[in-house]
Amino acid sequence: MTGTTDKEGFPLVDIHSHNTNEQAEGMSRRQMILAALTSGAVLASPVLLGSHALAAESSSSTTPPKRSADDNAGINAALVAERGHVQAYVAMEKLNLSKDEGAVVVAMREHHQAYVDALKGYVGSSASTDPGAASVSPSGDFMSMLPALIEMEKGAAASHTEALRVIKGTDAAALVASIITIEAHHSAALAMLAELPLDAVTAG
Amino acid sequence: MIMKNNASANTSSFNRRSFLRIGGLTATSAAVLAACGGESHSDIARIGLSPETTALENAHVTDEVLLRTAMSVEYLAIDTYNAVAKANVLTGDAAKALDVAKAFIADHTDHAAALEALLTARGGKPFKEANPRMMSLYVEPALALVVESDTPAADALAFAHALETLAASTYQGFVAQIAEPALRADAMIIGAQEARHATVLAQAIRPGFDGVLPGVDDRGAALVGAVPSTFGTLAAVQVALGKPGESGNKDVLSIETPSLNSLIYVD
Repeated sequence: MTGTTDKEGFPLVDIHSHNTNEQAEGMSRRQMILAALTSGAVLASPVLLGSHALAAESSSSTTPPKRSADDNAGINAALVAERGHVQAYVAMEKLNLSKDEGAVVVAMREHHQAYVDALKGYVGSSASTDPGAASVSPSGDFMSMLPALIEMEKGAAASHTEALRVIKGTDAAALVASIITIEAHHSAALAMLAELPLDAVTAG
Repeated sequence: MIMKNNASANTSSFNRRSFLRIGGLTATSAAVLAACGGESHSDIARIGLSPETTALENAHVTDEVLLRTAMSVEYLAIDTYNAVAKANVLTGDAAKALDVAKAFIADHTDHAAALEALLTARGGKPFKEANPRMMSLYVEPALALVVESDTPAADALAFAHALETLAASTYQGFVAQIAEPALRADAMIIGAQEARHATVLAQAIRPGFDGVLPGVDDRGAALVGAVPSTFGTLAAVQVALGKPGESGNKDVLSIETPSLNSLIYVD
């Protein structure tokens, strides 16, 4: 027993030593437990590190990342575009709308505002402060504005879809996909209200 | 009193060291006995003996598997529309829905062709059949309920709407699983059109402004909307079909996007 201790006075244990009796005789129970835990941690480390390396190896080549800072630019572009869509519907609300028309406009404005909030939340402090510009400039009445709104919604879904080609992270891709799905519903619903032919309703 | 003294004596002689020694002896004996166990007594149940099992094959969910599954969902939709048309339930005012069904069959055929091209371009093997598990779990029971229903045309529309909603959700869900970013966009081009199909059918069920957003009827039952939610969901789609039971309610079928059991793996 060499009597070597650490800063707190606990003996340093040579885990390679076979002379355990000698060590045990000079150690208190607390010291033995500490030594056992320490040696256990040292012995376990290669196992843990080994398994970690194995898991990383198996996921390195094919598994896409959940998040990537490279996606922030694309998400910010979508964010600014969505702010423009919100402004379009806010302007639409100022037209002389019926109760039914107003309900549809408010619902779609709220949806786009939710997309703004979600995209902004995704990029956090890196979120763009660009307020964007209204995607369409409303005038006339609801029915006369429908073609412009349909194109706006189709354009929104199409641009988000193109963004998916470069987005790396699966979290961002999943968020954008959930927006595309509903923007497709928006355009088709507006097209149905405009009584467009079936192929025009279902076309992207 | 005497007994107490004896007990005390026993306790003091059976100290911690003895306890550990006996415990160690027991553990060692158990290990020796276990090691001595031969295969000649395999019929006798004992600790540590378990029946032989066949390990499951490792199946990997790759982009190819997801594209093959997407193809199987397209063929599922095609087969469903054809089965509904064949069942002759779209009659009278509902007959014009047949034209919509034909148009949607053409779209789903295009989707399958697009997926096949994506697969073959990546050296994958196309799957040109309806998803067998989804067919037996969802479509076959649903069609049976539609045929026996008092309102078969309405039920056929309701199921078609559920199926298109499911197809849209399938592509949306696959986006988070597809490794190649470009394929995610290709998937969502198709998924968005499935969503537009669902909108057309939702408007066929609840036309006009009233049907743009989801609602509830007088009895509190959910009514479909052309725009079903704020974000696209991956939740199961529920649809009420068939002849109402004693309570006046139809059977509710819950259909879900393809899971690990219904993916079309590579052979």
